[in-house]
Amino acid sequence: MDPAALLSLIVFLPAAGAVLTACAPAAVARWIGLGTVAATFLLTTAALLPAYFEATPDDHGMRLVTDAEWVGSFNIRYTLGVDGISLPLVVLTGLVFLLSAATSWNVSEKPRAYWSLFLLLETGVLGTFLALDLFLFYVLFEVMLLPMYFLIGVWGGPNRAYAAIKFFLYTLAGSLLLLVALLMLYAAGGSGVGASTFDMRLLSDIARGAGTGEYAGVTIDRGTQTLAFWLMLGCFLIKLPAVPFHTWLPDAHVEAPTPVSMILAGVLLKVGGYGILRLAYPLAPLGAAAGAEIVCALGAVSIIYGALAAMAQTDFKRLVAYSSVSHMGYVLLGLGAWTLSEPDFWKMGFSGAIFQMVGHGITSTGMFFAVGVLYDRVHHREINRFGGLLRRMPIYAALGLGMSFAALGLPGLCGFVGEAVTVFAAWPASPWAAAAAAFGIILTAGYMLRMVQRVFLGAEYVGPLRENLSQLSGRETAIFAVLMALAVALGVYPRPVFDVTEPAVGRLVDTLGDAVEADRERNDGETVIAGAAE
Amino acid sequence: MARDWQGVLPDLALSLPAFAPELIVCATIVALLLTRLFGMARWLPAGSVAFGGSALATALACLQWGGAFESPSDGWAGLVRNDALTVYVRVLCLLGWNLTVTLTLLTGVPRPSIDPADDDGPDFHVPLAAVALGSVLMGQANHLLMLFLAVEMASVPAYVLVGFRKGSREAGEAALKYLVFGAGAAGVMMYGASLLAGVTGTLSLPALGERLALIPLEGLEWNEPGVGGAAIAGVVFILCGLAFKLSLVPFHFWTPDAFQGALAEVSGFLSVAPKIGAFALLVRFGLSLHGPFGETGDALLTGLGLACAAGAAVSMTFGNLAAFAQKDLGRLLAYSTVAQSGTMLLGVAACFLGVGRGDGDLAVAGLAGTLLYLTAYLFLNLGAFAAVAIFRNRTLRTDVASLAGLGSKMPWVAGAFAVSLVGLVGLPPTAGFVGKLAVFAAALSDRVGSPLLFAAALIAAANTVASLFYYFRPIRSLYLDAAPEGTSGAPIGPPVTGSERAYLVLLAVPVLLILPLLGRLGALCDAIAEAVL
Repeated sequence: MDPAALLSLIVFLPAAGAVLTACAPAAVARWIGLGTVAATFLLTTAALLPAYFEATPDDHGMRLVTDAEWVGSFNIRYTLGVDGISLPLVVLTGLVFLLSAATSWNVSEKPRAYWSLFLLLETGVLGTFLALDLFLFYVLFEVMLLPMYFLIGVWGGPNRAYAAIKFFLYTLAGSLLLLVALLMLYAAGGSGVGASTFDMRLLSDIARGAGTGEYAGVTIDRGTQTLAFWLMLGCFLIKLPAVPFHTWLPDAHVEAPTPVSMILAGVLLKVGGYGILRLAYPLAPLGAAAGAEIVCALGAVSIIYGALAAMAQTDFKRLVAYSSVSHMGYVLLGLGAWTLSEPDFWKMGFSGAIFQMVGHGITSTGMFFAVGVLYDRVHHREINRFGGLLRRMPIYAALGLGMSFAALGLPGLCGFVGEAVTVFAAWPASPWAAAAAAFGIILTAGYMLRMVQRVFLGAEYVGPLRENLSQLSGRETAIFAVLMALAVALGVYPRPVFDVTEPAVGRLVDTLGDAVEADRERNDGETVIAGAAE
Repeated sequence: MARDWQGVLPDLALSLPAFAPELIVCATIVALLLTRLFGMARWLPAGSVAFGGSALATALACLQWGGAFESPSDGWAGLVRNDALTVYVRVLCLLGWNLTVTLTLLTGVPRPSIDPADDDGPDFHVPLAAVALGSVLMGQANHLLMLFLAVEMASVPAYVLVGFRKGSREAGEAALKYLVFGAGAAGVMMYGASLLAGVTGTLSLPALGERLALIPLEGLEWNEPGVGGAAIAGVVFILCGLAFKLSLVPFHFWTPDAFQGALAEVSGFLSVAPKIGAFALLVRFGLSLHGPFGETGDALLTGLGLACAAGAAVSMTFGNLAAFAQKDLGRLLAYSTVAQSGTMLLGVAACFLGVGRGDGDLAVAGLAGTLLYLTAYLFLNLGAFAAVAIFRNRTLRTDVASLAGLGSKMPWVAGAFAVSLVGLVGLPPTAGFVGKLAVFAAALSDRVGSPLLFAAALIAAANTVASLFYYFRPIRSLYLDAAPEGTSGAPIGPPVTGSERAYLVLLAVPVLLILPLLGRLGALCDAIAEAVL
């Protein structure tokens, strides 16, 4: 297959499946749905990985680039590409959707609509990770919203309408911030001879004053960059989510059905971190340089606040939801680790953030799955009314214990690597934030171990519907085991992820450093000229 | 004054072909009036006549595409302008008319009757056609007199249409309110036109810019006695009259009552065609202030642009806030119209500001954005009101709560309604997003040069988020809420017919499939904007 067409196929195969599902009889909907998701997973792994390593990167580190004219009058192009920052997330997306589809196997209410929306959601997520044109990125970013609204709103829990619209309102507010920023940058890019452009690669060059060809000499002034950075950061902080923009998340997670929670925590939150790395930093480096410390601080606040909030929960799913807020704080911590003098730490921070996204993608998917298994059987999630599951459901409890340890960051499991690397990296940039984050690991252990004790250990469960507490089915065991195996594998041998991310992160850090340097030189030059004039 | 009779025949020869679609509309109106005679209604119902006439007029208007770009001309001794914008407005308004007539045939409004004395068909379709005619004329008025006539042509029949539901107190009250408001606005606009005519000594829009250049810029103050103050007052008063047609705050008060009282089919048409015409008219009027050597005209135009930006911000905010509390679908969509007008006005404001300070790119981007938005808006609003009309025929209600659980009972209508609402929010990949994007891109392009416009665009962005809340209340009722107790199994009203479905699909398809076509459409709007500027 033409390697360039591969990315388009990955993005639009689920959408084609969505159309097919909507037209097919209800009885076969889940077969088409699962089949499409499995095919997409194979494309993102068996086809994409070899193609990625064979391809040579372009000037901007992008591989397998597809580029075509789309809307001439706005200079919008259809551009897809993949690099070391997006590749891990694309693979993670394929995997989480596959596991989530397997979890959705028994959805009986309106199956056609469910699977259509599910597949449409996958198109949105994959497209967001692969788009290189800002317009395309924005469209696909928004395509995620509507399916999610309906997936929560129609198949969710008792308070689903509230949770769905809250999710939608928060995320749309973020999207509009993003839209305003993108249009500002779009206009600024056209201030010279060249036409305004939505191309991320061109705009990032222009933003650091390194435009070539007809964009040579075009710059984006500091004021525009600062405003655009905060607007974009606002969008992605909502998506991530970071305190104080996180309040949509517990509601959405608790009301969403289990497979949707798995996707939401496993993949959708990562769009926030990815957006900061792909858009907010490269397109507005001067604004970012000034704001990085605050990013770091917000990360620390999220870690501590999320952990404290998780400690106070008695609902299993809410606890896991708040733990997501806390764990995504490490992503932010790593992303905020701007150390101009020590680029190695800086790179480590970005790589660690990406690894933490992957690691959290696995552990949070696993934790939400664990909650879902229990809720399916006994229809409640009260931590204090469980107990003794180790005896009733030994396989489930063993995997659940392992997953909890992975989530709390036990060395040797995947949660540890991301947390440790981001905390190390943040130390030179902001020792206080790093110290707070390290303390957060203890808080995490606190709520996780309490949960473990109340749910898996202790006296036998005597709550309602105890007769339903049957062993895991083969399907459930397989899903859980895959996640656990990955948690162990990445914890023991995280190298593959870092190998992929490091070149891309190195490139990004170098360009960001150049941008700040160039700006400093410009300012110095102006000062000298001003001094000479006096 | 001596009349140059020599020029009349060539002028006629030039004006008539360009005016063919309007003549068809006039002929349709006459034919509609004649159907009552000689018992013709028995074998040729008014609806069919209107459908035939509207289809023919739309087809003729479409055939004019290329010509208007190549050779724009004045018609009827300079009363009307025949250029790309004219044709654009003509096609959209006549298409809107045709779609509305089709909808009335599908929903059986007004109720057909075998007894000719009892048949309301002509009474309904004549004013409908007249509104279409007025809207089309608004798009080409090139003369202050024509401006007034066109606005009245679109307004007076609309009063009748709003009050069409006989015996309904709601409709009667709405029509009265609309009439009183309209009469006031018309008076104010007439006064404004007379002031401008007095100041400049001309009624012709193309001559306005040159004449305004004769007023010294220093004289252009509110409190300055004489021509400067009168010119400002003239512009402001005409803006008031147009703002009434565009239902911009604070001239919107008629909108919710009229749209609630009128039939959904009528509301849909009134929310689209006259608005498209009025936007074109506003653009024509504003651009006429700009002339060669026209510092004064440009100052007036910049002022008008700023007023539009401010008016846009106020309209969106107020329209959205007022829509939050609405329980009736007609009222909800009416306030949505107010807000949408505000967003579209943002593009016009960018256009005026761009022309005012000689920034051609901004002007083209702003006008093209508004045109793109209007195209999307035609399908979005007609689709939304059509869905309301079809729901009404089944549930006999038009409140939001009546939609509960209909998502699975009437999936096609519900789906079409949802598509329209999502489009009105402006979410991709619908047409509404494209319009919003184009307008925002223009308004946000210059943060330093026009801070008020930039601020208005930020307010527009915030309003988009706010509007989600009320646009999604019907969607929530349709899909998330359960059907009321006891009715879950029972079918509601007669089943939705295939032609109704086809009609809704016809309106939803352009909304959903705009992205692949965006290249052509964007280029077209750019070309029109460049031609007009």
